[in-house]
Amino acid sequence: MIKLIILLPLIFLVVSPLSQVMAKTQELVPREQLQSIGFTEYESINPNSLIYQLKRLGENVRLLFVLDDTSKKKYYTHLFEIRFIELIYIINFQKTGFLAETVNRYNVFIGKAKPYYKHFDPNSINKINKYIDILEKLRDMYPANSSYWLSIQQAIDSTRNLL
Amino acid sequence: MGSLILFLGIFLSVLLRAFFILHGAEVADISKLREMGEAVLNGINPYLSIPYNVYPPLAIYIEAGTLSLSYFFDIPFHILTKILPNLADILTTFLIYKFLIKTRVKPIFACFWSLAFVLNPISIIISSAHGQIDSIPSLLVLFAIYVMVFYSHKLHNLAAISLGLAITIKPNPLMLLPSFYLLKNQSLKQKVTFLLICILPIAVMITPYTKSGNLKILEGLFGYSGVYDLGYAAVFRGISYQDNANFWLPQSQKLSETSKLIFFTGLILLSMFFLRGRNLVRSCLSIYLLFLTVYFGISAQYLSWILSLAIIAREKMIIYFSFTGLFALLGFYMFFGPEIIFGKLLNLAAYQSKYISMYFFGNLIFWITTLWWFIKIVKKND
Repeated sequence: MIKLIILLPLIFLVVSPLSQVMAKTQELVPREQLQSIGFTEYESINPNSLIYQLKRLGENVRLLFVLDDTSKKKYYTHLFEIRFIELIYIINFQKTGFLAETVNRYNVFIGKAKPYYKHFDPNSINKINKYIDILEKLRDMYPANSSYWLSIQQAIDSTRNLL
Repeated sequence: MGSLILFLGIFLSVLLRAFFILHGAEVADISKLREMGEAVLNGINPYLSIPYNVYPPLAIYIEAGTLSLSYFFDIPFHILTKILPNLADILTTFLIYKFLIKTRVKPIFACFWSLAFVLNPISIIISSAHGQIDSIPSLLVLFAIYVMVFYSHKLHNLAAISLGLAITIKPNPLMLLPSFYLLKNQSLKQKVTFLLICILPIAVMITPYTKSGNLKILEGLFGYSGVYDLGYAAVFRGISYQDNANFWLPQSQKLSETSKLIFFTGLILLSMFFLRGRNLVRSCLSIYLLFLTVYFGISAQYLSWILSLAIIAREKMIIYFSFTGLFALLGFYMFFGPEIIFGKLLNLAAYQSKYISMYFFGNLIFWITTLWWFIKIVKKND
């Protein structure tokens, strides 16, 4: 049994890169092009990964220890960026089986984070506008008014709510 | 004192089982069992009318009888159909206790081992929530083993009849025939008689369905590949899911056929180098463990086959098996069919990605445990 417990971290180490290996479908928009309009880097663990729930658990645990409003705003800003990057990954690599839930998670997160976005600085507004630009570019890679197009549009509308 | 603990434990198990039964719903396998029963009551050949049907005739007659009782007493079918398997579990508990007492295990330990069966979460889930009937043939297999271990000189044929009846309910006990055949202290005449008596009930029962050369029933019973719900197939499914939420594997038919070949090869090798003259219980256990380890199409109810055998062998690995098996089962139900385990209690949607991790890791750990156990049991000298 002890051998099994020791084996578990090794299993996680194997599974984590597997989700990246599975993402060998072509990007709709090359990363460099996205980066030119404000995208940074993909997350190592994305919503399609088998260990994604562990990542979310870690975030929620960390949130329990964030007590004051300033730290909460900072952490929510960080999490918002992560949710956005995960959404871009799912859209750009056409993981449409995960699109609806990723968009829902993104929208719900925006709803939770909104109280912490009461006072904007120009940098934040600029960043959110870039996110909208990226989402619109990727949305238009899908057939107009298709279910995927509409889901991404929902995400765009939610992002606009932050402004 | 031991008896009191045993009866209290059984009472607790009955309460748990009753809870699941009363809050269950007619979903998944239960609705399929109903369809089989309905076909028989309507005078239709279920082996022609139902494409997925792979149950031997006695199982279908049991369901037809249960359905008749359901109509007569106006009790929901999904409740009545679970009575017999749970009753079989209770009887198995008493048989386990008797078996252990006869092998000179102290009564208090025999009680705890028996409770390890009746309170086993896999046993409770499969019989009371899932509603499968595998515990009935498992009881008959256990009885056959009990007779062979303690009364083979007097009641040899009774063991064969019991095993034969088990095969008429579910075909899995067929794979245990090598264990019985290769037992020492049997003449060739006894071995052949045993095999013939075993096969007779199923041969008699399927004959009416093979009229006019229609061999669909044979194809259904012996060609069935199973659904690849648990074990290493679940691990593959979890990995494949990451691609684009696909949980159906390409090439599954090929993998299934290959795994059948691997299993039969393994069974032949086991028969040649391991089963001959071995302890009957461990022989049967090793065959089931080989099946769970190498076969592609593992369904949830197959996990229950192991329990009674492991407990009468007093294998401590049953603790790890039960724990990891429970984790694997919960992952399976949470992702594919929460209504199977929760019934009317909760209304959870199936195919939620958040449960795929539990399905994957549960089955990975479960499969590793099964493999490890199989290797241990083969290495052990009796």
